[in-house]
Amino acid sequence: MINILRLTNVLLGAALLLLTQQSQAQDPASPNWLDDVQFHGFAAQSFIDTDGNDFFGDSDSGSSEFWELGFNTLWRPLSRLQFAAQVVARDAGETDDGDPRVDYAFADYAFAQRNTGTTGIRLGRVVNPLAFYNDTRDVAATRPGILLPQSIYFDVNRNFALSSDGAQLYHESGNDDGSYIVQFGVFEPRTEDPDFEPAIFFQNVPGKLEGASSWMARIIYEHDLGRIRLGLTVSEVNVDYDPGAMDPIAPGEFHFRPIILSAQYNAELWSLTAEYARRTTELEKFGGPLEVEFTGSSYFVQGAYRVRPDWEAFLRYDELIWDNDDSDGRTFESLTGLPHYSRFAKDWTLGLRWDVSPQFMLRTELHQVNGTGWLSLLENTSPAATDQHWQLFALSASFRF
Amino acid sequence: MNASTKPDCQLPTSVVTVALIMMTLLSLSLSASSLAASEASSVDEVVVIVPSDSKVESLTATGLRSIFGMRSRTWPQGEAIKVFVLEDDDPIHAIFSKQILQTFPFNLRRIWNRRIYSGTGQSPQVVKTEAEMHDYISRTENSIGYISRKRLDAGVKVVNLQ
Repeated sequence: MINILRLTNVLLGAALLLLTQQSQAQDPASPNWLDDVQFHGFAAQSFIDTDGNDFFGDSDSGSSEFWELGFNTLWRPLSRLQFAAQVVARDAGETDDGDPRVDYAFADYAFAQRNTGTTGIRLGRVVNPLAFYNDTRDVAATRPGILLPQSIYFDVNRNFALSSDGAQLYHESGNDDGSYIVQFGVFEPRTEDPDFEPAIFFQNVPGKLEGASSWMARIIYEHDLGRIRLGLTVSEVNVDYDPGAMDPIAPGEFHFRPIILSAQYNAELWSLTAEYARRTTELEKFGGPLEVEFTGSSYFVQGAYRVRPDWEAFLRYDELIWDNDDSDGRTFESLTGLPHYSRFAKDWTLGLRWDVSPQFMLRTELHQVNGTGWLSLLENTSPAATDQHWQLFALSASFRF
Repeated sequence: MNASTKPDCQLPTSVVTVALIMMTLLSLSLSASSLAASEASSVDEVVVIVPSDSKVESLTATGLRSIFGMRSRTWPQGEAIKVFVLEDDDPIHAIFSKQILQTFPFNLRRIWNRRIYSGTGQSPQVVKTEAEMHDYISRTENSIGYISRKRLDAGVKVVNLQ
């Protein structure tokens, strides 16, 4: 079954590529059905070097195991109806495998269209309305750096965070002062990330995690065409544990309840962005020591300065605390024997971006991190062997159309 | 408690060092490149255009921002709007963004990117030159674009901005 799905994905990707090439020769003024179809794509190759811990491959000795490739299409046969799909292949060390997968594929019907706004519904595999950067998280040029702020956009759970299967209602509206978009989705989350089970249980387990009924809501207000942007995301994501053969773990439930506040100010030469998340994680019906509930906090603040329109430098501070009642992880360490510094991560990042052309971009950045809170357990299999203080250097070249 | 003696939030010296190196490289690369390009045509007047047989005569500032922000999908009679723009780094695009839309090219690109890569909307069709812009607008029904006033010619008309 999985092989058939993969084959379908590859074929779909090839078909999209073929259509893209045809569309380039197409005259936009000619009256045919392709008038209502758009194709876009993106590709990025990054190089990561760390001292000590591994991130996206064997980065301790330099890793090029981080690349992204995607194609999408949007077809609008009627002014009220459109279809959208995107296929992405992505490699990210042990945390992603480079196989193509359908990231979204949905129908979008606008049942109310007025001068002032649009209300509609999206059905299928829909992008999760999560904070500022999740919607286009694989498109290098739309990220605030080579790596997303990991405290809010965990790359170990990338598929889970990005999109899910279900229905989403939306309303988009605007006037002289500003505009807002409200989205509300009900869905079952994707649980196909290789690191998903270890991230919850701190080890590989015999059973499987399966998506259960979940919801997510977001409102984004944009004043003066996005000079000021404010966002609020609220969600409850549920996953059930389906035990394997001879499994000592009970068929429990995992509940994840984030609230995320987002804010951004855009001036001509500089931008200031901040996001704050409060996450409650609950493991229920597992029994014994696995029966836990804790609340953690994350935030980042990023200042970017555009020296010229094609050059941008930024400084970011990003902090993750897994459990507010045990912010230094000492209680966790005494209970589990695992390092206390795996319960937080404090990351200073300095980065530089050069838009060589409207399609081609080069980036570099340096991270100085205290803690291993967002490191992959698949890539750092022995927690005791990790370094608390470590550095990450990254280079990236990307293309989009 | 003694694993880390310095305050957690303190900016590490390695980051400061690299910042200084990056800034030095940046200033070198900038001084080496000419500033002529960005000054090119800041005196040009840019006008919004539609095909000469279009029913559209005038638009409000909000209406225009809504169209180029790809939020308005249709003209009042229900036809799909076809939006054309010049490349992000074109000086005429910069003048249009700043003087007419009262925003910046990077911000428009952010808005369009979010739509096209999340499957929620289309992006404007990008053309390479003002001559191409004039050509496409004159031949494409229900289209809208912009051009410098001195390049105006038959086949397109100027939209009055209220």
